[in-house]
Amino acid sequence: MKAFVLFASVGVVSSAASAGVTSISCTSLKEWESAAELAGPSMVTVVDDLTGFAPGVYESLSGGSGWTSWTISAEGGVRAGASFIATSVPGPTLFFDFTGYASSQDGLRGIGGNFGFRDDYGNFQPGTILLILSSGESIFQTFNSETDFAGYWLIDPEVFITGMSVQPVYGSSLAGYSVSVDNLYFGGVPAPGALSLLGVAGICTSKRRR
Amino acid sequence: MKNLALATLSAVALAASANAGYVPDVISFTSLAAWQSAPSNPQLNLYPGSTAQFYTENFDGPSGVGAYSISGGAGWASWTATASSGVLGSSGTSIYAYSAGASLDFTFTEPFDMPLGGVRGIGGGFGFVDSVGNFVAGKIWLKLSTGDSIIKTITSPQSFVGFWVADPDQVITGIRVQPLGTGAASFSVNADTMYMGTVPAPGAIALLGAVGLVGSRRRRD
Repeated sequence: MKAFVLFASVGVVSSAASAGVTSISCTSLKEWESAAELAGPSMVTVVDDLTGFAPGVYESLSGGSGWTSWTISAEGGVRAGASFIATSVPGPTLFFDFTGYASSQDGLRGIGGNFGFRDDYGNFQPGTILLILSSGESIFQTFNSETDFAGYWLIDPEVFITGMSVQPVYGSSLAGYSVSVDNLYFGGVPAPGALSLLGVAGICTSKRRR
Repeated sequence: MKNLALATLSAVALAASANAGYVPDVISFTSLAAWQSAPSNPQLNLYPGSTAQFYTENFDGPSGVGAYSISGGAGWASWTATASSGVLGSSGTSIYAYSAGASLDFTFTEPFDMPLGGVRGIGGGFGFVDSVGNFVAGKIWLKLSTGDSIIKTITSPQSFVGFWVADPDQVITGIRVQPLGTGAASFSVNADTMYMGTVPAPGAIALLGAVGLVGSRRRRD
């Protein structure tokens, strides 16, 4: 899996604009990224493309590091594809666990992803999901392409996202497909050390590509 | 014109799915069809055994500019609109915050008819209008009184955003339609349709049952 730091927001407009708001849901990546400054100052976003796993079925898969750590599991196991992770069989919910962070300072405040469904061959299939955060916020959305997005920001500084479930909402024609995720987007305020580490990781990745 | 109680849907009482994940408090929607069918969707299992009621507001009243508040609806779906800048406009098919950049607020705090539990679902066609009332695309931030919100770029008059409160102990007492982004500086945020939904709270269901029993006994006497 590869993680890339997207940006850090300054967040000068957050406090007044988001007064009384405890969460923000977004249905486009662009809106989610621009909402980072509403979620709080010094917010950093990181994307993990969920690659690097040998294709196959696993009990669960884990990745990331520090505040972007994740474990994905499902009843019956999960299937790793070339660029996605899905339930091993159609029907179960995909569970995300984000409790791998080191301290309350660098907990997860924002989460998003490209969700959808996969057939037996790994091809994307459109469909509807119910995404529920550990804090109770939820979004019901139909995904029509691999780039469709759903995400959340939590504004309350005392509340972190510790998990997420992505439940398939099947119509009559979708029962044969497995709910999946392509990319995961993380938002938070990492501890200074973690931010430096992310920066070093980004530089290393960049040099390797060159 | 106000369309009272357009539809009544019976939610199907099903046991929660064995593979269900976390329990939602508030669910956001970007499809009107999905929002309307949510209370009866067995996979959401929102209000098992309860019946949802709906109210559609089309805002088709007299047009004009200068009102500080406009009220409408009926019973549990009563609403009052105000603007953060103080002045509202009405086109006859929608209402809007007169000043560009101002927010449009709706409150649902009128005494609602018990035993219905107040507004638990809200959604609508929100967006922007120019000085002659034409639709303009733009980004809004729809905020619920519960603290939940959604940011959405509205690209057509048919675009929809809405919520259902899944927690039976919560009701929606107000919403704010706040403009965001570059369009916010030039155009007025508006609402041309607003959909409201309610579901009797569990206590209300018990009360309804008790009232029914009393009524039945009285009729027998």
